[in-house]
Amino acid sequence: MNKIIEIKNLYVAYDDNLVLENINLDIYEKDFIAILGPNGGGKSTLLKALLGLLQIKTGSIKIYGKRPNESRNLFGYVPQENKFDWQFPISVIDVILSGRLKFKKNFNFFYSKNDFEIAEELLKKFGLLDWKNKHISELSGGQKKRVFICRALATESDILLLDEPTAELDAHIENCIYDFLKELNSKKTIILVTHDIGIISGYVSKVCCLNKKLFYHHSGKITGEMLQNAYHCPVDLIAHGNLPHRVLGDH
Amino acid sequence: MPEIFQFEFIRNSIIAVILLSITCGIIGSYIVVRRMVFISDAIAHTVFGGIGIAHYFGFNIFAGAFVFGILAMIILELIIRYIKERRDSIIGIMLASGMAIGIIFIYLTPGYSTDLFSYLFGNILLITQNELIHIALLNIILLIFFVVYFNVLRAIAFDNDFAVVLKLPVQNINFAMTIFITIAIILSIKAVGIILVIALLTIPPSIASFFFNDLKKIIITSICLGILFGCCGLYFSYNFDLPTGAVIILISVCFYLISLIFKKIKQKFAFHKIQ
Ligand SMILES: Nc1ncnc2c1ncn2[C@@H]1O[C@H](COP(=O)(O)OP(=O)(O)O)[C@@H](O)[C@H]1O
Ligand SMILES: [Mg+2]
Repeated sequence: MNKIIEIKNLYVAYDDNLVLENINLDIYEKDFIAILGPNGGGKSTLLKALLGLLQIKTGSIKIYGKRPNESRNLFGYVPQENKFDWQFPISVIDVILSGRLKFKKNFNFFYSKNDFEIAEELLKKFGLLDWKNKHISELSGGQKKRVFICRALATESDILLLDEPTAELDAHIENCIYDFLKELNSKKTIILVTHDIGIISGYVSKVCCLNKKLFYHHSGKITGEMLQNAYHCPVDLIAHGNLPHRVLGDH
Repeated sequence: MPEIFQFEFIRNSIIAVILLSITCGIIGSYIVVRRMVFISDAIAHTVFGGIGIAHYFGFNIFAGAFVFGILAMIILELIIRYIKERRDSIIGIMLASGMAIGIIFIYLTPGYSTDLFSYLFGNILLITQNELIHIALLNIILLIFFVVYFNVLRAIAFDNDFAVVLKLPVQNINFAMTIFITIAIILSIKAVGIILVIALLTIPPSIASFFFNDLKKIIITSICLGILFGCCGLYFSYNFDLPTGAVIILISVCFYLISLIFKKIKQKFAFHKIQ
């Protein structure tokens, strides 16, 4: 399989606060990687570093051999929306259409009929068609999440970066989204930040835990040791005892 | 023709009201939805430093204000990027420095007091034909820019990071908008003065955003409201012999309050209907 992303000895800091320490990770084409870890563990920071949205201290990130700044438009990005201005005047369809701007150039930033069709197709798929022209603030948290997934998919990127796309979603929709991602995975590489330790095992091909350092088992399975290292506490505490045993590798 | 239209300065100021309403409707809506009201007010005060310096050395006032304003914004960006201090404190210090520099240089220029007042409070009745042409030119460029980049501007304003990931020209467009905001403010200062210019820019879009959730509608409504308030203001200030800029702003504020009350009542009503 093709290696598409190579992270080597990566250190990232906000001022003096070291957030990522010596991260090494290779990502291959059509991987479906889940990144687990406690809040503040640096998961969002790692995704932003991949996108070239923040300065890295030392180390390197190569995406198809290029720096993030050059290759960031290969990603479809679903941010962990917590700093959005929900009062901003934009409708659901316009949020999704903005993903299509990736293909615009030469002073032509208008949306084509094709763009609208793609956006409506996505709305339909995610059960949001009735909300098409609603203002973004009128949606529930889970619906907003789906809109951002649609926006990322509208970019038709080969690599998807999803930052906690299923937080706030109810179990049914959560499963739908994972099924959908699984289906997409036959064509796309997916990097997913999540807390759903229980569910993901059936879907993802690899799991790693991030808490400043990256804990990764070469088999791609979650191990008790990994979780313990990342969460600094007994595993069943963070998993609330619901962690199915098959998720844990033999150790 | 009513008596009021007989004077050229009245005709000029009506044209000024219409042209400035277009400028302020577009720029003001952008400022309001991006929550840049404070920084824009800071630009308005800071450019006074440039006005003072240009006045003293006999440069072109507009050029002085523009260069000073843009330099201040660049320095501000650098300070915020490299020295992590509270953003609003730094902006507050910047605007005070600009004002202080302006006051000193205008004081040093002979015959300062009348000029000081004309910049602080403005006078739409004294707008020259040349200035009207400048505003018209700005409007044409602004309209073209907004039509071409509307979708990009909205995407950047809503989610800057995502626009960066799409490799849209985010930095260039943000910088272009800073330049437009600065020019719009400098041209509007002539009409209502440094102290009131931010109200001229932000009250109409604030009212419009009570009723519309769509950026295009907010812009168009703001332009119409701007023209309405401006014309009412001219009429009242002419008839009661009051300073025009202040009358325009007070009329805007009254409308703002009425709209606010109207909106709250409407919300209450809608809420009761649900119950
Ligand atoms: N913009 C920022 N400026 C300063 N510190 C930040 C910033 N963003 C995140 N941090 C810090 O970096 C650490 C990791 O944050 P984050 O990557 O958001 O973690 P996670 O997504 O795993 O919850 C946290 O301690 C947080 O306080
Ligand atoms: Mg996060």
